[in-house]
Amino acid sequence: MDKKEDGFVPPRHWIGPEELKASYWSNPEVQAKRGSEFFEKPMDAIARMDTVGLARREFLTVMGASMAMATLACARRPVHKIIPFVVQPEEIVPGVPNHYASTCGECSAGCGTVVKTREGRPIKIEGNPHHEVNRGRLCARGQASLLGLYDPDRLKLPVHQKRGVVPEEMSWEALDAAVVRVLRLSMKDQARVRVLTGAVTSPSLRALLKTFTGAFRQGAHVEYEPLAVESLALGQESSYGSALVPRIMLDKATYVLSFSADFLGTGISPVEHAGDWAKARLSGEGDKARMSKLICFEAPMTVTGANADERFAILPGDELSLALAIVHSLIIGKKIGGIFDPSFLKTLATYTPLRVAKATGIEEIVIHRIAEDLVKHRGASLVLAGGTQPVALHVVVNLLNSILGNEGVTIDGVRDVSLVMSRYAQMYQLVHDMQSGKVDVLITVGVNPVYVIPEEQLPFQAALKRVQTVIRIAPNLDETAHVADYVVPRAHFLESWGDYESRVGLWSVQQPTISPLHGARSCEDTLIAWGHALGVIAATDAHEYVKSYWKEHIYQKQSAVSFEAFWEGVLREGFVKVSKGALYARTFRYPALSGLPEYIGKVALGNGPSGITATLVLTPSHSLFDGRHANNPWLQELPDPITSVTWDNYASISPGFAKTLGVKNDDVIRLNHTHNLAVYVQPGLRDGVLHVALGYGRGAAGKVGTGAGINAFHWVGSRGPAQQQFSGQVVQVEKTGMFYQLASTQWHTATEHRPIINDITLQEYRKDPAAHSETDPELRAETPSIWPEHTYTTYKWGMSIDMTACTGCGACVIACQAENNVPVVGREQVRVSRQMHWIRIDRYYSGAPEHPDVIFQPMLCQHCENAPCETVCPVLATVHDDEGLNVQVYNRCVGTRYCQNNCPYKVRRFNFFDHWKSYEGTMNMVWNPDVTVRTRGIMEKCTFCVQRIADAKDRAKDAGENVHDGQFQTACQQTCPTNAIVFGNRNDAASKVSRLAGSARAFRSLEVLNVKPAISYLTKVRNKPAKEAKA
Amino acid sequence: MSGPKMKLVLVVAIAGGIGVLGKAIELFPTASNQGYAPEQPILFSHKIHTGDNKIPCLYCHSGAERSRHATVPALNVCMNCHLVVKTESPLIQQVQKAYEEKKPIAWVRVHELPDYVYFPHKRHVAAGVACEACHGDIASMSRVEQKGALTMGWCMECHRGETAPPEVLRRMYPHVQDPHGPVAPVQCSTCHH
Repeated sequence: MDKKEDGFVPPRHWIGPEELKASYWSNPEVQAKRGSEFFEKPMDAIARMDTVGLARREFLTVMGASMAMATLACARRPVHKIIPFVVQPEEIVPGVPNHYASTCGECSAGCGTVVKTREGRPIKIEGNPHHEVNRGRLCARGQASLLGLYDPDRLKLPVHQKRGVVPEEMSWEALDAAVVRVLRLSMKDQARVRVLTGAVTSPSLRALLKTFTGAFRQGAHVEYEPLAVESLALGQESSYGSALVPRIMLDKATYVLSFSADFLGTGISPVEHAGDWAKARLSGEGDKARMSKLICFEAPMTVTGANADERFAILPGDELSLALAIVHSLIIGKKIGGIFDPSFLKTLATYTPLRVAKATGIEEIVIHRIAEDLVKHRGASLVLAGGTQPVALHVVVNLLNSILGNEGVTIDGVRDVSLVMSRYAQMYQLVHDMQSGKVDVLITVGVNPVYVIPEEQLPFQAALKRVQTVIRIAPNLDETAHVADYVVPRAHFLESWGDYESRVGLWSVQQPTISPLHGARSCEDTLIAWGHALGVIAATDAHEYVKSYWKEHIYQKQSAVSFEAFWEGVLREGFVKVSKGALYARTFRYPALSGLPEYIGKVALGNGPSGITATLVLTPSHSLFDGRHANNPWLQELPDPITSVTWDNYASISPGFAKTLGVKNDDVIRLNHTHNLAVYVQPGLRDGVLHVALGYGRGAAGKVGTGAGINAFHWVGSRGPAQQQFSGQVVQVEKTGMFYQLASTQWHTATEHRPIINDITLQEYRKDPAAHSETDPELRAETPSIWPEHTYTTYKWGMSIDMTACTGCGACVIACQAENNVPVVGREQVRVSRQMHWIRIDRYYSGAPEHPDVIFQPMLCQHCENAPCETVCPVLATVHDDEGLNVQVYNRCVGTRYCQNNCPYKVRRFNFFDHWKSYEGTMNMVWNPDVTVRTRGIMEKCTFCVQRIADAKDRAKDAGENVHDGQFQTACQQTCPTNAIVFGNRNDAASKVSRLAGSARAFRSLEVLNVKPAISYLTKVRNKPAKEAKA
Repeated sequence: MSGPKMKLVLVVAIAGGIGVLGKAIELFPTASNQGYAPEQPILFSHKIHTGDNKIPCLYCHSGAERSRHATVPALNVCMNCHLVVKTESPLIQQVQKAYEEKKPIAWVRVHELPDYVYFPHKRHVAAGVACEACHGDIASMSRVEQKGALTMGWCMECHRGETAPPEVLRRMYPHVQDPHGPVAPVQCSTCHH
């Protein structure tokens, strides 16, 4: 960006493309905002409050009343009661946490967890460090699943509703009696019973469903989940013979080529894959530095694309032709030998790189270069395709992996995740059976068909009217529950017995850590209760069932000890592993290629006859996935890693396309004359592409999730029983003239061109490991200090964050929120830049807006040696302690906010309201009892998890020693899937954090200010051609 | 309501608040609950248990060694003795009844710190601070009373060594004739997080 307009030098790193224009900075509105550091004044906010429910007058009343109460409280303390146990359980000591090994139940990855409970209630979920899938890490969704347990909207009792009549609660006994009566009649009358579930990942549940549905002569289990990786499994089936999800080993891949596969964000097993991928990233220093390379072709901007060394924005649907052009370059270009079927070669011949390049807008030289690189990295590369991409693309990707010799090296052919049995065709068949009156009883669990199935494509709701009895097993009254006859409260996974086959030979157990709230029952328990009453299942509860399943199927494989001893070991460790032998390479079946179409050219795009059209791309939401987490306020308020938007979905379009439409950020557009969506201008998209996240717009998720955003499943395409289509639909787009302010955290922290982040290329790094020091003249400015230096006797806590490893996934944000009682503020407060996250992920771009590079920076309190906040606090509520922490003393703080104003990193958060009051009912059980719940009027910020430091010191003192390196981890560090965060004692020269802080790549953010942060960032290194980096 | 008018209302509200607060501070000079001795649901006497019968504090308050909380014993701890001891007493029968009916007793909390204070019993017990140092002569109390002020200044005096028990001082400064000086950390983050 050396282009100058009137002497204006565009910033090297930018937040939004508008910053690249001089006119933006001279705009008086922007200048005024800069003056107030993009924060709003409280009076403005109070004036706004008329529109958000709490009127100004009420606000003053509340203020006055609480002030009076505060003064009265001085006079008489409230009387509190201590209620001890009648009989204290042996393992419980009030104040001392217990930890239980279990398995995360939020997706099909099957990550091992360790659940921390206090006085019998789970307060934090962390990864199980011994578990091979996630190695102690969890994603944001896994971390946030804790709050799902305490969802106040969970059903308290079963519900009976005659359709169209007001639902009424019923007792469990009445429910069981009613359902068993129906089922018993079904057994006698040979009624057709269907159990519809989402993707089943538990081997014991699969066996249970088989027994249960087998009890009815016409019973069947239907498995369908919209975002299960069905096409990947089908692609595997046609390429290798069985529909499975192979294990991919990104740690062994030096070259990764992805076609819209978001394996770092919303993929099959993001924690495992991100961890593996990070292992193969930068190692060694100077000319010995090695680094894997990630190439990404994708239409939307995903977390994976943002982390790619080279990302190519494409039009949705071009993945297949690009993949085949690369195959063309490899096979017909004779880069790789082999004998191929002549009919395939004939088809392939139509995909010449030149032709594909012309049609897709990707340079021909790029296609050849990638083909050459793939050959160079033979046997150590990996080609991936997104789970919702068409089967044909998966077949081509399998072909590539096979001819490149990756099978058995970076891909283990034995199934990894449990068999993927979810099929849209099954769902399609079910609806048709229902329509023709061939289903008498329908039980649905997990998947939420009324929400995820577009009624115009597949009339599920209409067909439901012909089913006599509909039973819904769900945690709350969701969309499908509203149309059911009986709704059965379903327990959370933290309350249930279950299991996972996370990987071949790796079985994980899911054990309850609390007895079900409101007496809910797990899906297994409910089915067992009914099956037992019908006399088809011997077990009486899920505990017994799971245990006997393990005895029969898993224990036998390693019967060195008694079963009870084995089972106890399993419950302690959380999993059991049986050696499965060497990696398995399969042979590609060439007939799989016979169905490939000849190349026809460009996908239809652009201006149609009836106005402007756009091509849709629908992806899972990074935080809500398929909408299952919609009622989780932590995830609703987690800013999207790419767009920083919270609480809504939106239409991401390129700056060029926005210009064509005449819209800018927050303008509302209408799609197909029916649905309104706010615009988010996203650099790095192709013109004409419109990206929307799924998972929003729930009709009945609960108080938090209902109505947030719009339901994009509406546009998921399908043609008969064939697979659903998640991208490539063409929609009409029109401007509405309306405006909807998205709650984005993007502009809350403008850097104003200061050197806050840094990135270099691998080539530069090889030449000079400290090359990043040259990127900005102000980066290393030495300024004399007027402050005396602090001295430290034992500990000086510090952190290092590797920006090469950070993928921006946001797991740390939620882990911190759970650990530190960080409240949720809601959409309106985020709009006025008052979100409370102690750690945030700042996303910056560099390069041209058409194909920008992305860099993520986790930003939290830097615990500066010369902290600017400390010097301005009039009441010494923020001070430096003797272990290098910048501590915030809540009980001293009077809320002047001077510190926030003076913080160059903008990491201090002010409680404008009693946000904790928004946690209602059971939600209050989620608070961490070791951290103060902050009230209105005080400042807070990252404490480096001081309660964990205190706990580590306590344990070290018990042992009569000092805290040793790695003895404990901060919450953010603990969950980081890529190990980007390291915390420790900088007073110990041998500690990992000290070594990293002294490494050549280390720099301190805004070092020029001489505030001496305790956090060192490690420069981001990109494995991309150097000349393009300067573009 | 217009801007200036609202500002006036705000100013009046704040000034009024400060006035009320000032009066409250005048009436109640410290926020301490010193001398608080509430009636308990069962007339439990520490004097009989730990004074007359010399039961060690940690027998019942076993959490004090292991946890932040000293913990009030569960009923099964009471029943360890009272299954056989003094079973004819109507007070003990009250306890037995609660135990049999599985109804926990709601004791009234005497010593209470604000929510933002994290006081660990465990570290104090490990450092050899006697229970009486803070709780007073419990062995002579029929009804427990808060003896110490439990204010921050009161804590700090001890941490700085001014009111620290002599045995703690001697252990901290073993080779000094007349030991004095700080005995424990005085960082904000030690207790507030």
